[in-house]
Amino acid sequence: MSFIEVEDLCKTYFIAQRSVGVWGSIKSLFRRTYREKKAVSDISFRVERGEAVGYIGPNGAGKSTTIKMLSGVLVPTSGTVHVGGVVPYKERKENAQHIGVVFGQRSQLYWDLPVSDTFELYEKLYDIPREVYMRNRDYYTELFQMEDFIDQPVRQLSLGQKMKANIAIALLHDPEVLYLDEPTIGLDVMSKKVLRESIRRINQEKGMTIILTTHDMDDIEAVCSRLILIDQGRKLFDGTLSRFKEEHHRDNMIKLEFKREMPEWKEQDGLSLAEAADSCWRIRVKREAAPRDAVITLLNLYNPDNIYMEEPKIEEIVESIFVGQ
Amino acid sequence: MGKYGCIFGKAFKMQAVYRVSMYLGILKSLIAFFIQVSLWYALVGAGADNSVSFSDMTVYLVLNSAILTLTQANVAADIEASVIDGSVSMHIIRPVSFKFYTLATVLGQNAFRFLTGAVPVLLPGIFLAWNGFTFPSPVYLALFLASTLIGMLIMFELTYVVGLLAFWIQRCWFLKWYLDAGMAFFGGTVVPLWFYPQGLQAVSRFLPFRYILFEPVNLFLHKVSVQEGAVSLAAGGIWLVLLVWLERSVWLLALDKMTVNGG
Repeated sequence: MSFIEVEDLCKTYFIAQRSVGVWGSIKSLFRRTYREKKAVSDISFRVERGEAVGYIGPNGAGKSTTIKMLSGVLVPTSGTVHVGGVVPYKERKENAQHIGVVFGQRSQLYWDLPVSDTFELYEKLYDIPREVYMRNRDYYTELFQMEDFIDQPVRQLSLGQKMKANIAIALLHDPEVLYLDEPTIGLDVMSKKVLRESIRRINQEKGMTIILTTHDMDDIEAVCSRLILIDQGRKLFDGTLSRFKEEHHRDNMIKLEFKREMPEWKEQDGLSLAEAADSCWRIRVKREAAPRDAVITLLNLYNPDNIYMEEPKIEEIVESIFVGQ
Repeated sequence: MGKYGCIFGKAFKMQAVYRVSMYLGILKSLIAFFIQVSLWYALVGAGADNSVSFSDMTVYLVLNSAILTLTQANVAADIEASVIDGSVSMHIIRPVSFKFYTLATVLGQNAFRFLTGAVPVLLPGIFLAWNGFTFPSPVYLALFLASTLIGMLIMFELTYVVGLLAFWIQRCWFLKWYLDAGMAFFGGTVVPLWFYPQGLQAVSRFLPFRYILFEPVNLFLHKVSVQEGAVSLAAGGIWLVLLVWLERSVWLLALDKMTVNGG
């Protein structure tokens, strides 16, 4: 039996239909029609202990709804969820002892008190044995570089500092699985880097299972080895990151840079000019053509001052999947 | 110290963060107390009813502000806010009972309000009521303490049930207004029920409000017999059981119905 098992999971919301105009809103005070919205539709997947899974999709794809059912906040409309043998929404407290959850858009910290107060609260809430608490507190304070601000009131902290603290407190009780719902949302490049690095280390050093939803594909590349892609509540892909890149491998891009006057572009088999800017070309190499041959051809033909290969980013692949639909 | 003790402590600590607001709060309690005392001094002096002395009235006012600070729970507004912005989900992923978490928080806040709102009026209160005041006998004191505890819990349950309605109607702050009105009118927090006509007094017996504050004060002042006190204590207890049952049913429905707003 896998650590996390999700079978045919569905969640349907009822959304009140608003009518247009003043008269419409008066009418809707008396009679209201509801529309069904399937946020999650027949999703199944399994996650083994110690895996780091990226759960991605555009806004409204059903990512957060899935996380909320996994963590026991929401009751599924149909289908089953098991996490470590527990049905999360039925045994909320039992489930809570074994999971850590961070919702990027919410804080679990006391606004007016220092982070260390919330740390103490979590020690009690989760009945963490003293030595485990001390060990984890020191470990995560160092890992997330929190020494400087742990005794400052939360209201004076930056967004990145708060996010680090939120992830740290979700980990104090050594959960078996960590759910991260958009942990890097709104953060600067440096904070993102520290977070990704830390999450990867937690996954590798502690063997903690991690489920990460994000819009930032760099998060996934830094942390996850597996990817689940969903849209409109349905699963589109489930597999390793490398398989994802292979399967959805699109054309390669080559960039040529000229420090002299630009030569004239001549059409070639398998090559096309995607973009011509001031002093460089971006050339698309059809996926069937070998990049090596393309480079040689381009060098011989145009003799550029510089030549760069660009690997396709997952972001572009995902985008092309959605555009292609 | 258990988890709820810790929650209590943090809630207390949070109230103490803003010092100026604390000092202004103390000042406010003192001013409010002296206004009420002056008003009742004039009213009791002018009235024909001799069953209530100025000393009784002062004790009433002191206890009134003390118990009000202990029962002042704006749970409804807190739950409403967390349902509207979706942060209620944060409570559900913690291994605590949402109700006891809320109760511990409310008690922590109220303990602080008690210190800043009730303790400051205690000294002038004792001074003013000294003439003609007798301390309650052990039996009455025990009944007083028991009924105060029940009163606090009734008030908490009332506001908690109202707060849970936020899961359905989202906005429920105005329901708190009904509770406050019920408290002011049938709970005797503005004008003690002693001065009420028979009809209204009878109605108040079938509502939970008088058992929160008025009955404890009655016992403290020996205004009722021990039997009557025991009856009202039992009535308060029945209300509490009813409310706990209601609150549990509503909570189970709420969990099933819950959707979490915003991302």
